[in-house]
This record gives sequence, C-alpha cells and structure tokens, in this order.
Amino acid sequence: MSKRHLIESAFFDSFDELNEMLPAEKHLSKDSSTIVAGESSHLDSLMLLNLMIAVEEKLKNRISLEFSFVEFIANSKEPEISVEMLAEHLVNNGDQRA
Amino acid sequence: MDLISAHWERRNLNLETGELSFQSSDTIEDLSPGLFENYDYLVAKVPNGSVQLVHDLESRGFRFIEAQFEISVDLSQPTLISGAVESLMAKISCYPLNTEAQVKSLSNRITAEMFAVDRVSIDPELGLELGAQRYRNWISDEFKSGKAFIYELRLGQTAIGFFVLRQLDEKILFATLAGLYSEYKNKGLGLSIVFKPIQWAKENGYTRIKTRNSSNNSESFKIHLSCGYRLENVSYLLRWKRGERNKISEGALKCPNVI
Repeated sequence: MSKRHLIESAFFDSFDELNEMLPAEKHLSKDSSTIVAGESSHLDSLMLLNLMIAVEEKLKNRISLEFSFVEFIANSKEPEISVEMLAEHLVNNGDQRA
Repeated sequence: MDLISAHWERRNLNLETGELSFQSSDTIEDLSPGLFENYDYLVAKVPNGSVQLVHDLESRGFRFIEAQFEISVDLSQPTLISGAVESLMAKISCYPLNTEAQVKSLSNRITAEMFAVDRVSIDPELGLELGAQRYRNWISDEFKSGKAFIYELRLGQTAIGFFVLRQLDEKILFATLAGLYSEYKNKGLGLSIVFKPIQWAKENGYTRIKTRNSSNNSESFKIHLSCGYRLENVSYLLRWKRGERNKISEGALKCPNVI
C-alpha cells in the first residue's frame, strides 16, 4: 500500500467516525477532493478540531508520522484545504514535521 | 425601564444613541415619546418572553436585531475539554499587549469580516465597516480603562487572534471581546479564543467568567457551551433608527398579511 493511500485512509477512517456525529446532509465524502477547512467545508470549528485530532493520531499510530494539522492549516495561504492537498504535503515532506 | 445615554456610540456610529433596558413589568407606555426627538438611534433590551412588548416596540418603528444570551462558566468545575484537544490548544500561547502601540497594532488588524455577525455589522442601516470601527474603538477604550487584560493568541510565532477580559471583581471576569484575524477563520482555531481565556483565568486565580453571546453567532455559542459555559438569561434586542427607510422585501409584500 502506497504512503499516499495510507494517508488518505487515515482521513477516510476519521471521516467515518465524524459522520456518525454529523447529520446526513453534512456527511464527509470519502473522496480526496473533499474540503476539510475553508468556507465550503461541512465542518464547524469543533468538528474540524476533532478531525485534526483523529487524523494526527492515526498517522502517528499507523505510519509513525508526526504531523501538526493545525499548524499546517493555519500557515497555509490557501483559502480552502482538501484531503488531496494535505496528502500531497505529507507525501512530499516525508517524515518531517509540518 | 432604564435609559443610558451611550455617548461612546456618537464616536462609533456618529449617532446620538440611547440604550433602553426594560423589566418584565414594563409596558410600551413606559416609553416616552420625547425619546424619539432626543436620539438618532435607540437600542431596546427586552426580557425573554415579553413578546407583547416586542410587538409594541415594532409598531413604534423598532426592528428586532438579535437575542442575547448571558452565559457564564464556573472555573472551579472540571474542564469539558478532552486531553487531546488540550494538547492541541497547548500549541497556542497568550501574549500580553500592555502598551498603547501594541493595542494600536491589534486594532489595525480588525477587519470588517472579523465581526460580520455583530448586531451593528448585520444591520442594513449601519453595516460591516461601522461594525469594525466600533470594535477598534472598543478595544482602545478597554485598554484605557486600566481594568482589562488584552492578549494576542499566537500559534508558534504567528498571531492568529486576540481576547479581552475585563475584571469585574477580585474573582470574576467579563469576556468583553475575542476574535480570530480574518485569515485564520474557518481553520478550526475558533475554540482557542474561548478556551485560552478560561485557561488564563484559572491560572490567575479567577473563579468565573461571564459574557454575552448573540443568537446571530451560533458557532460561537456552540464553542462556549463545549467549554463549560452555561446559559443564565436571554434578552431580545431591537433597535430604532431615525430616518430609517421602510425597507420591506419584495417577498414580504406578496404576503397577504402585509398591508
């Protein structure tokens, strides 16, 4: 399984956990184009925080990758952040901290 | 009914402003017609449930603008925030703004988008820019009062937002203002402007923080509740403005009940 696939799996498994708490119309689609932060995201501030924690934990436990989701998002100049953008960043930056 | 002449709003809004505070026993008869001659802008605070008074005020030209939730958090109670969230919040630090230059620099970062759901910002008669200017002046006034603690929130070296706490007495604070700078909105950082003041207050020996939350800002309300705030009281806020154009939307005119 490629590193990208493992990273996306960490997101999509976290989506499953969050979708249990979200109304059907706000469910996160397990698609790499899903926007997780920004104006068009389905997540409010608290849910985004929960996603950050869930993803960071999975990346650490599954592939020993330490990543600060909150610092990446805060420092990004992009108005919207997708799973694909995060995965791209993590693949290209190896095991470095974000 | 109490009336306060809100002289500070002359500078903020360029309007002679009065703030009316009704009790549940008050009626519309307590509203002196002379008020409408002395003021350009009146804000009426009506107790929860006084619907007749709301309707009577509307018939005098007042417009409903928000419900206001008075909330407070008991700092002696255990935190509702999980350890994982606390660890994440630990990455954000509080930096005191103690000089006029620092506070001026904070004011300069207040943009129209930051408080877009504030009652002044959403009022079609006033708008976003007046709302922002009002906040800039408010921060400056808090600093000059000598009773406020003003902190900037920083993630690493990056300033992401701020909060202002005012000391009510030795043990109780009032959370006057807080906000994320525009570029850090919608990035999951909203909790920090509620959680970090709580953490700071606990560390400094305070036992309670009080604040108010607008019904127009449900996102903020949810965050406050998640941090342990409890609802204490609800009021309705209406406002009257001299010379307001009687704007009724086209859809409303099609409604058979609208004359």
